[in-house]
Order: sequence, then structure tokens, then C-alpha cells
Amino acid sequence: MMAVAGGGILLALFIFVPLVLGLAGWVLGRRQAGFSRWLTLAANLFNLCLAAVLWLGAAGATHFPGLAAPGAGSPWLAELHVPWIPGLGVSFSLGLDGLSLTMLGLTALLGAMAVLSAWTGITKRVAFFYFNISLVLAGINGVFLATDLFLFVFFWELMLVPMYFLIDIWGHENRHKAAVKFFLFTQVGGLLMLVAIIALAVLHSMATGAWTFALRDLMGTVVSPVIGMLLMLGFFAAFAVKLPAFPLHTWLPDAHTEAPTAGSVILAGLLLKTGGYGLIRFAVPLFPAASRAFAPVAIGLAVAGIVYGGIMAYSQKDMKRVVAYTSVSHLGFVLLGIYAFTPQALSGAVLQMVSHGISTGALFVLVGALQDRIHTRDLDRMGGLWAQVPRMGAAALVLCMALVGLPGLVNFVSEFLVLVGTWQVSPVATILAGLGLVIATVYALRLFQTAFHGVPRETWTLADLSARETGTLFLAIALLVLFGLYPMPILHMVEQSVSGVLAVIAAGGGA
Amino acid sequence: MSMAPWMVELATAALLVLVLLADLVAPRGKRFVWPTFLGGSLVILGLAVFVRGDAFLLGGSYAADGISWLGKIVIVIGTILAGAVSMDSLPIQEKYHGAYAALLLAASLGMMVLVSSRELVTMYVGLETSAVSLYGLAALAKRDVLSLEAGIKYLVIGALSSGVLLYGLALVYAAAGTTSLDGIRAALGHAPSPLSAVGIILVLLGVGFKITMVPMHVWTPDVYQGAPTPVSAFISVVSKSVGFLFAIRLFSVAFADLRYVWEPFFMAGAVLTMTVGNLAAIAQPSAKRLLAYSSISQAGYLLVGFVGTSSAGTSAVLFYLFAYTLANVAAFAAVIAFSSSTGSDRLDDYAGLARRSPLLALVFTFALLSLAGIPPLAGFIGKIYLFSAAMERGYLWLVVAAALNSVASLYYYLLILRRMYFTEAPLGAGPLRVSFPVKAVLLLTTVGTFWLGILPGPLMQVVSEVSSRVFPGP
Repeated sequence: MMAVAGGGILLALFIFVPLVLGLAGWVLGRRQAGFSRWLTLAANLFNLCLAAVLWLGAAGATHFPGLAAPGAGSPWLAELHVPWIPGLGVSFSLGLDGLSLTMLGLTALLGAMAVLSAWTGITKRVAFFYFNISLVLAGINGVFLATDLFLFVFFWELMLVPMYFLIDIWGHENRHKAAVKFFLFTQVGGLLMLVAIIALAVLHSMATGAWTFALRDLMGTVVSPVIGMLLMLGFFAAFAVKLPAFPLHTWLPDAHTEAPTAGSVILAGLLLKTGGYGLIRFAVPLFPAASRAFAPVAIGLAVAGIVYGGIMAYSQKDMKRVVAYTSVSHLGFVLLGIYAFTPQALSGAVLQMVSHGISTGALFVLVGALQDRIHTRDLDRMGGLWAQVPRMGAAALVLCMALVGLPGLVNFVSEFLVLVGTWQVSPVATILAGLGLVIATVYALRLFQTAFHGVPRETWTLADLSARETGTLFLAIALLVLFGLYPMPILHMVEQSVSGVLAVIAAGGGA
Repeated sequence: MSMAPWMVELATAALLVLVLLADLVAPRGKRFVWPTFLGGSLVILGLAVFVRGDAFLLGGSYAADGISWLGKIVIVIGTILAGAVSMDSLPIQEKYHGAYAALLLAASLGMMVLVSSRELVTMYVGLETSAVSLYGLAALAKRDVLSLEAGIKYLVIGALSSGVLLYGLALVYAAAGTTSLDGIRAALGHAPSPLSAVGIILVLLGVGFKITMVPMHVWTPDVYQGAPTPVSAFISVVSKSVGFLFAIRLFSVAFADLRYVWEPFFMAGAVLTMTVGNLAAIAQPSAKRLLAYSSISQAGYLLVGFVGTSSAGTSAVLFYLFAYTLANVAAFAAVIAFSSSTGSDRLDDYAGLARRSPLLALVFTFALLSLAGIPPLAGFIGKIYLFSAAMERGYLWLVVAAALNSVASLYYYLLILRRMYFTEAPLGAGPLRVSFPVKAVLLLTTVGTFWLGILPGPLMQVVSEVSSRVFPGP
């Protein structure tokens, strides 16, 4: 009883193409490492094209036969259902809507960027490296597509081990500690979510007599407020660790700093987004009442994260740590936007995930390129680099402006939307979060000045960005500007998903 | 009386004789022993899988039902795998191989009787048949001090626990006036007498020894470490699985209406078993001791499912026993391959194994990840199944404890993976040779682990059908 609505089978490609090509790359790459690189890149480019084609179809620009017409009753543009474990009511269910399509596009883009950034930098166990990259990306795509909670956990857990390997094998000096910390935080959160999912499925089966893990069915489960809050917290634990929300962020600075460049790009650009996506797709719609009750706490945590992350970013000496803490600050905006429950704030939160993904991913590529050249990330040893590497300096300038949230870049649009949307709910939180933008100016300018301006503190002989690096960064910057000037395509794309979540919240049924 | 329900037991007994005869033909070697053993066991496996008739024999005291059917399959699979990894790696003289194979078959015969009986005395006979054979197996490498120690320790503690169990069974008999499981259930009723309560608790302690429930686990690390590794694999997989089936027969059937008497003990036992097993495993320097503690913690997860509802709990335990058998045999086979090629059991020597034998490292990785419950391997599905069984009775705290324990277990499994993949091999360490039978076992178990992880549907259907027949009603 395979049910495919529209281009459902295409959705599986997002997961299986990286998986199969990654595996092929690993096998073939044992002899000739180049295979693994090219195959992983090819998988990401394929996914990028697939996402682009689906995007054009979904936006109505071209007629794409596989897609359901928007507003045709189903919230999904395309669906795939294949029974998997009938005894437990588990099916291999994927669903595509504007939100997941946006995240899939981002994944393919950053995946390609990560592969390109590692092109020459990774020299040991090359084939295994790209296999792990492919596996993480396949898991992330699965997370963005799964509409069955069992399948969702399956992909969620699938991301963990390869990411652990990426940090632990190819990372920097303190990689072992960072890898273990990353793993412990994520796994504890993930298993609490698993417990909540099982509890929800059991409650549903007791009420209706049928086992199911389908999101649509479980959304109707009636639970008491106390149980609803407990289960919601189980989900929140997993997503808040990934996001990361203050005070569960402590794994992030270590992991981001110690991971290899490609790992940092994927961590910051994509893995963190699975947290935000999970909140929007699962935690809030499954438990609208508990989420409403919890919103003040979440908003408090978000504001604390924005301010705390900013202050910490200012006081770091390690360049990657600076960028890592800016992530804590910027993802605070995502959390804030989600729990304000207004259309502007929620669209802003989604847009912030995109803009943070691109800008921070690019920033990690840049920092990685710099570290490959001078073999340090210590800001105290840099200075006056602009004279030697003007192209790198120019890219760094634009990306630092993205950290600040300068108008003209998409980061400005998203943060602005979140703040506008939050003002209607809590002016105090908005003002405090706005403070975060001021702090952002300070740390971003400090980062740029110490590294690229001033007097050189040590003499380096450096090569400027290579064509490959320039191309990667140029693409990222071009997208930041493009969507900064005209964000409507993304906002249109996620509009239906956003209003769907808000409708559930407004209806307020269940728990 | 039809012979069909006895077929597997009779065939095993016949094979036992055949193996001894094969040993007589070539008394100083193992030339004929293993081909006979393997060929015969494969036939028995075919019988065990395909001959399935539900029947009650000997006035209801012996059953061929779903539980005994699946139990025999697990036993035969475990026996074949343990035999296959033994062939080239036993630390004993060749002339003892015949005795070894015969003891293996005797142990599995006893276990088959145990999982099929529905009556206390028959159960006890089956239990002791297998136990005595296992003591012999553990001590078989008699030149090795550790093996002797393991055998004696196993014998002494095993005898003690058998005594406790027998005492408990006697009290239960005194309270119920019958030895048939159904009769006991009817006679004990819903209210425990002091006699039956004490009896049940003593039985629980005796069963706890078999399934390595803390605090009856103390023998496990020493015996697993000292016994020849294939024997450790056999004890950890088959003997433990049978212990759980024994527990299902006794507690979920005979003592089902006195659930509130024994359930708290099993719940506390589950938490203690998981926690102690996992925490102790972290610091172990020896691969075999680590696997011993890890298999203790696996028993804890199984107990979590066991205290779930009778029907869901039984099917979850049955499913997980298959997943656990495959993964644990693979892990032990990897350890056997490593130690028979390098002579070492120290985890530190596993450094750089991925370079020395990529296949071995990879298979070991999958086995450990399945034990940790990582998708897409069998352990992941199995654990979710166990957890949902406990959740059906509302034991949220127990499931949370189990989930947190999974994190701890993944931690020390990852420490092994790190050694194999990220640490450089010592200088002069060449590639490893893995003998063919061990390689075959490694591949088969890994394929099975993936299969159950990706397509668990069919087996899940079978186990839930079996347990819904044994436990009709909700």
C-alpha cells in the first residue's frame, strides 16, 4: 500500500542519493581518494538541483507535475508513505512543505560548501571523511522530511555517530574532549525525546487502540496538562540542546572550535537548524497548550542566550570560538521568533535559520582557510592581514557585517522580522534582544579589526584565497545580498507552513 | 503420540551421540568432530524453524508452543555460532574437541527442555543438565589457571543459586500443592501467603543468577574472562536468553496474578543491572570483561521490557533476544578473532585495528553500535520495542532510566571505536588473519543485525503472534 502523492518518490532521493554515493565514494575512494570527494560533491549538487526544481515548481514559476497545488487541502506539497514496521504502526513517511524545502535547499548548498572547503585540507582517511559527511547530510535531510516520529528519531540518531567521528578524527587539538561533550549532550537530549515519543504513541494507542507514530495522528492525542508539559519538555530537551538554547549550549563552543572546517560548517549551518526545525515541526504543533504555557520561559532563555552569547563572543581570543558564540547569540533569535507565536516572528525565525546557516557557514570556511595558512586561530597573533590577503579581508568584512545585521544582508531582514513580531508579545524581551544587536556590532568589529586591520603582530607570508575558496565565499555572499534585498521568495515559500503552525497554536486544542 | 513436537530435542540428542562417535573414529584429532557438529546442527536448525506444531505433551507438563519454538531457534542459532567460532580458536588440546562439542550439545539439549517445560521438576532437570555442561565447558582449558578459576567459580555460585532456586520451587510447591505452572497459577490465587511470597522471591534470586541480574551478577566478569571465549559467548547469549524465557514461563505465567509481589524486585533489578553494568564497563581494561559488563547491562534493558505488560513485554523480550544474540555473538567473535591472532585481550591493543583488519573493525563497530541501540541496526528497533512495553504500564521513570543508561553505554562503546579507528597501531603490528569460520560468523551476524534493523516487520509479526497466543486478552 505504497501511497505517493505527487513527486513523493523524489523525496526519498534527497536521503538515498547522498547515502549511496557516499557509500560508493568510500568503497572506491580507498584506492583513489578523489572519487569520494567528487561523488560527495555530486550528491550535494544533485540535491541542490532537485531542490531548485522543486522550488520552482512549488513557487508556481514552472509547472511541475509532481507537486500538489498549494491550498489543495493537504499541507504537503508531496508525500511518500511506505509501510515499514506494521506491528508498531511505523511507516516510512516523508512529507515536503515550504519549510522543509527551504531547509533541504540550505542543506544541499552548505553540504557542497563543506565539501569544497575540505577539498585539499583533509589528508588523512579521506574516503572515510567524505563517507561521514554524506551520512550526516543524509540524516539531516531525513530529519527535514520525516513525518513519522519513529522515522524522525531514526534519522536524528543517524546524525550522531558520523558527526562524532568528524570531530574526533579530523578535529583540532582538544578534539576528543569536544567530541565526547557533543555526543553526551546530544544523546541525552535525543533519548529524552525518544522517551517522550514512545509515551505519546502509547497514550495514543491506549486511547484509540491503534499503534501509530504518524505526526498527523499523534497531533490529535489528548493528554492531561501535566503529562503534556512533561512530554513537551522531552522534545524541548532534544531541540534546545541542538539549537542550542542557553543554558544547554556549553557543548557548542568546544565542538565548533575543535571540528574540522567542513564539520564546523555542517554543525553551525545545518545541525543547529534541525533543532529549530524540530521545534517548529514537532514540539509546538504536538503540544500547543504546553508550548503556550512554556513560551515565557522559552522567550526568557532566548533573550538570555542572545545577550550571553554576544558577551562571550566579545571576550574570546580564539577566532573559531568567537564565531561559535555568535551562533549561540543568533540562534537565540530563532528561539525567540518561534515562541513569540506571531506570523512575522515565526517567518523571521525561519529566515534567520537560513541566513545564519549561510553566513556562519561561510565564516567558518573563511576562518578555516585562514587557519590552514597561519596555523593558529589566536586573534592576538593576527593583525594587519588585509595588506596581504585583500580578497579574504573583503569577504571577512561582508561576513562580519552579516553578523552585525547590516541592512542589505538577509540577516538584517530576519532579525528585524523577529523583533517586530516579538514586540507585539513582549516589548521587554524585544528591547533586551535588541541589545544583542548592539553587542553584535561590538564583537563583529573587534573580530574584523584585530585580524585584518592594525599593525601586523607577526610576519606571515600568505597566499590569498584560491579560486575554489573565492567561488565558495562569493556564492554565499551573493545569496546573502540577494535575499537581503529581496527575501520574498523564502518568505512566500514558508508562509503556508508558518500559518499552519500558528493555526494549531491559535486553535489551542489538545495539550 | 506424534514425534513431531520432540523432533528437535531428539535430533540434538542423536547428534550428541554422533559427535561422540566421530570423536571415537579419530580420537586424537578434531577432523570429524566439527563437520559432524556443524552439518548436524544445521539440520537441527532447519527442524527447529520449520517444525512447528502447538501441542501439549506428558499431561501438559511439556509444551511445544510459540515460546519453546522461538526459544529452540535461538538456542540452535547460538549453538551453531558458538561452535563455528570454537573450531580454530579453542585454547585446548585437539583431543578434547570431541568432548567440547558434546558438552555444547548437552547444554543446548538441557536448555531446550527448560524452555519447553510447563512443570517445575522438568524445568529443574533441564536447567541442571545445561548448567552442569556449562561448568565443564568453562573449565575445559584446564592448563589455564583463569579457566579453572572460572569453572570453579561458576560451579560454586551456580550450585548455590540452583540450591536457592530449588528451595524456592519447593516452597511454591508447598504453597500450591502442584508442580504444573497452570495449576500453580490457579492454586496461588491473587493473594500471596507468606510461604508462596518467600518461595517466589527465592525463585527470583535463582533466576537472577541465570540472567545476570544485579546483585546476582558477581560471577559474570570472572567467568566470561576466564572461560574460553567461545564458551563465554555461548553463556552470555544462549544461557541468558534461556534464563529470560524461563522467567517468562515462571513469572508471566505461573506467578502472573501475584505480579505485585515480584514486579518491584524486577524493576529495582532492572535499574541496578543497567546502571552497574554500564558504569563498571567504562573502566574495564580487558575486552572480555567489558563485554561481560555490557551484557549485564543488556540484561537490564531486557528486564525493562519484561516488567511491561505480559503480552507486549514478552514479544519485546523475544525480539530483543534475537537482536542481542546476533550483536553479542558478533562482538565475541571479533574478540575471538583478535585474541587468537594476537594473543591479547587488552583493549589498548585494539589500537589501530581498523588498519590491521578493516573487516574485523567494521563488524565489531556494527555489533557495538547495535548493542548501543543506534539505527539502522537491530538494537535500535529492539530497544524501542522494549521501552514501549514498559511504557504501556506507565513506567515512565523506568524508561527514562533506561534511556539515560543507553547514553552511558554508547560512551564506552565509542571508546573502543576510537581505539580501533583513531589510535595508531603499535610499531610492527601487521595485518591480522581471521580464520574462515570466524569470518563467516562475523558476516552472518552482521547481515542479520542490519536485516532486523531495516526490516524488523516479519520477526515482529511472529513474536507478537506468539505472545498473543500465550497471553490471550489484553
